[in-house]
Amino acid sequence: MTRAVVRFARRKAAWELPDAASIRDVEFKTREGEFDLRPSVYDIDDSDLAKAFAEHAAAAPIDPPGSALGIDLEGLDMTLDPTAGNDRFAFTRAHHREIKLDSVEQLDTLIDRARVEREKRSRHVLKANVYKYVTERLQAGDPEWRDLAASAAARDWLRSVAKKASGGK
Amino acid sequence: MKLATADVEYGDRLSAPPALGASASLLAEIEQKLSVAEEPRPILPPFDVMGRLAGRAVQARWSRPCEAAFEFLARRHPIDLARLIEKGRLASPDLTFAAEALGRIDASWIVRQTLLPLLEHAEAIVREGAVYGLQKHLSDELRARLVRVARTDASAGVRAAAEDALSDL
Repeated sequence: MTRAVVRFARRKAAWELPDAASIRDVEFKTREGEFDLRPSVYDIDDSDLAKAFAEHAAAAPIDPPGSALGIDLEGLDMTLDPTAGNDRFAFTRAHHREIKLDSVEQLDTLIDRARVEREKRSRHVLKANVYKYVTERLQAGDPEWRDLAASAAARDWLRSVAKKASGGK
Repeated sequence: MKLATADVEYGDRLSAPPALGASASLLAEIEQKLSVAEEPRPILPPFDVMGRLAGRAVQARWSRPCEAAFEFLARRHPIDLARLIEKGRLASPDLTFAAEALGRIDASWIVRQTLLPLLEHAEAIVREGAVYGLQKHLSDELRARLVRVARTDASAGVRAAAEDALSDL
């Protein structure tokens, strides 16, 4: 088991930017445009990466989900606050954390430490693995996925995966 | 309020001619008083490139460009969002999310016309946002463009986004 504290990137290319402030402007803002001093991460075993991203994407919703870049912040100096994640999935709800930060400067320090070790800290999730995971859960009759796929909130991609998982085309 | 005969006939006309009965005069008077009383604030950049209605609606809710504002515009004023993007007044960290939000509208021709030029943008985060915006509006021509992006873009993040958009899972 290898612990990972993963922040999923909004833009993969953002982590190619040359400094913390540029990354922060893209990756660490709230929907209302404020800098996010309580950024969300998932504290997981890294074998659960595809599961965490699939649930994160379905609940967000990211429509449709593609491949994902996670930045593993494990080992960096930070305080994690266990706050419940989405209501849809017990796993990501239980493993969701917020990083407690006091200032933009503290946020930039954290980003910069992750940035300089980007290669080592990058965790890639292939789109095919996300869809494979969701298909398997639906075929296994997982009630969380089954209920979401049958709900009015289901996006087209999930309806399509559910149809294929049940033998349709 | 008692309607004049001329008011009843108005239903068959395309637009109201001036001086159309007593009730129309009353409404015009009220409208004029309201417009004087409101004294609209000027629409501030970057929202000043949009129509007055959209600009005022956004400015009443948000003081800066942000994801929530772009999603609101995509739902309520999509042409104004397209104009905001086209005019090039948004900073790259905002432009990338504006592009993704525009992709949620149904009118593929507006999405393609507005976002295709962004595939050549200097900033990788903007090109990636354009790919996300375009991914539900694929045409043969756009697929060919994305194949080129997936093969040749300088950013690994943009290439991965283009591959995802092209993959049919």
